[in-house]
Amino acid sequence: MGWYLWQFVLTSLQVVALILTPGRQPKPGIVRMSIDGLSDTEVTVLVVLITITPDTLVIAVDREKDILFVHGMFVDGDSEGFRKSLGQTRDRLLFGVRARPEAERKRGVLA
Amino acid sequence: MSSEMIITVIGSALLIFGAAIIFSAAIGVLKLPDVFTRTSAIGTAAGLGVSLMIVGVVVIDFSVLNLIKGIIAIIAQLITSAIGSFVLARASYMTGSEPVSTTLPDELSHQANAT
Amino acid sequence: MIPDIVAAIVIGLLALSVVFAVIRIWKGPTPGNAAAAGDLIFFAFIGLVAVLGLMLSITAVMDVILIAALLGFLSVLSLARLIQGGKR
Repeated sequence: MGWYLWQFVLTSLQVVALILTPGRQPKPGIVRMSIDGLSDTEVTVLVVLITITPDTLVIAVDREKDILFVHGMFVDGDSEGFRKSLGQTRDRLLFGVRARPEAERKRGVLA
Repeated sequence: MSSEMIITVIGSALLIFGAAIIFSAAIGVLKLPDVFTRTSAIGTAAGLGVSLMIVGVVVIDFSVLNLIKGIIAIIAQLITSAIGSFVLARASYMTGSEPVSTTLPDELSHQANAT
Repeated sequence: MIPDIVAAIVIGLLALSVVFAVIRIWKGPTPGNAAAAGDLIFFAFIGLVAVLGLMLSITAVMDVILIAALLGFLSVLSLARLIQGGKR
């Protein structure tokens, strides 16, 4: 929770700094992200959490193939690093929501 | 007397800071290249800008009832603005708004029928 | 109660934001751009209501802000649906 609030304020200030620096343009990117094994409720909460942080934005959800398409403002060609930070958000959410995170971690559902 | 002044100064600073963030989002709406980055800029105004202004109002005009209302308003504001951003971005994409050409990587472009 | 100079600065910033958003609605190449700018106008409106309520010491400010925050996204939803032309 505190971690998420800190991320929120940090990325907000990053976006403001980007806008107020004259002549600087963003380096955006769109990245796929796996949501394999999440229930509908968890996907909804994850979409809201990703979209609240100002630099990331969910564009489309594909429930048949279990993929999220996420637009990021500071991707800068580094799709792997961006995907990793999104995965961190997802795993923190699951760790808080799921009843028995340790058992699921052993089964390999959680990273 | 002086504690009243401190409260006024803090509340005014919060109000001005929130308004400045909304203003920077407005500059971003003019400056940024495509609809997705513009929606991100508006997300900043909706989240941090409006939240700071609500906190400023609560600080200046403090009561327990106002505090509760303020907390509920901030939470509602965050959730609904996130859903609004998502729906807008999805609608823009489905009606054929292309992301700007500097968007790299674009892993969505080969995926025509995303729902 | 807030000092007049603070109210003037905040109202000025928010009014300029609304002007910029209207320019974007005017120029906006797609309807999606116009809808996003309309969203920004709504947030600036919430800020204006907050400051005006403090200036005129209206006790119902917080209620107005709360209702606005709860109902604001309905307008965005309907705009998005309008852009899509009724399709889902």
